[in-house]
Amino acid sequence: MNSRDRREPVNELEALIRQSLRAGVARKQPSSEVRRRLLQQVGERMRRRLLWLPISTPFWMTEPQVQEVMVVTPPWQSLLYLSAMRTVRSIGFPSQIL
Amino acid sequence: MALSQDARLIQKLQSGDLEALGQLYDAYRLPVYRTALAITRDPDAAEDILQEVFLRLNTYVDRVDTSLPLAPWLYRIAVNLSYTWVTRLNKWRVPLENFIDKLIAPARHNPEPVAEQNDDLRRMQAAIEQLPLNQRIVIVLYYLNDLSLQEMADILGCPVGTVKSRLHYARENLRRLLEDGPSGLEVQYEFT
Repeated sequence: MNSRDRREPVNELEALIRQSLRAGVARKQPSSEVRRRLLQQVGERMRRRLLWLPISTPFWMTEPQVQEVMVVTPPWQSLLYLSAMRTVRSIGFPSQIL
Repeated sequence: MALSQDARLIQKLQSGDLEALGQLYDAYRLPVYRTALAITRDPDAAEDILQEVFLRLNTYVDRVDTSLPLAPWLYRIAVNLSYTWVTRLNKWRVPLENFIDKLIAPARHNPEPVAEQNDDLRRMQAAIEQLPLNQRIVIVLYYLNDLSLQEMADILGCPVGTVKSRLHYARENLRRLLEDGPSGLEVQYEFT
């Protein structure tokens, strides 16, 4: 980026502009605290992102034979079943009512 | 820093290597910090901008094109953040505070003894601070960072002609400010 360092100023004004800008920042540098804060903040973000990563499925569970054996019941079905059973138990079976 | 080394560090950062970010920071902290400082004239703001530039590098690292040099990307973020900082400050600062700031600015921004500084340099620094912001930015990028007109146009997202025009008006304004004081500022009209 500093390939133009050797560029000669065209006139006194340009020379003065460059000199004054460089003098204004020459001995200034950021405190080491900035680097520490930056890396700490980014490290914290990376840790948080890792916590939210989905847990990968073990390779053996992706085998078709395994998937055939697995009986997957959606949770809402289980809840409906439990709820129906609870109702029947509380009012009795139809044969008992009649 | 060689381009290939930057590209390697960016790829490491993309895979979550925090050390790579530290190395990129070490390589570019001075030019980025000094650019922000030259535009804002506030060391605290320049530090905040420096930190934010590298936070954004980490956030958007997947979008960084490793075949291109990294420095213009960093300068673009630094210039945008500096621009926002200065315009916000000018919006909220009341004229009286502005006046007081101008009075104490030399002492606050230049801790080194006044006697050490050349009078011409101090007058020029004061004149640069009085430039309209878009002119101050091109002056900083051209004379401090030694960027080409094309690089500046890419960073600022405007045509090369606009950059040339801003540079021309900035130089004219500086010449007049040195000769006539603050009344010598010329309004810039951009048609490009």
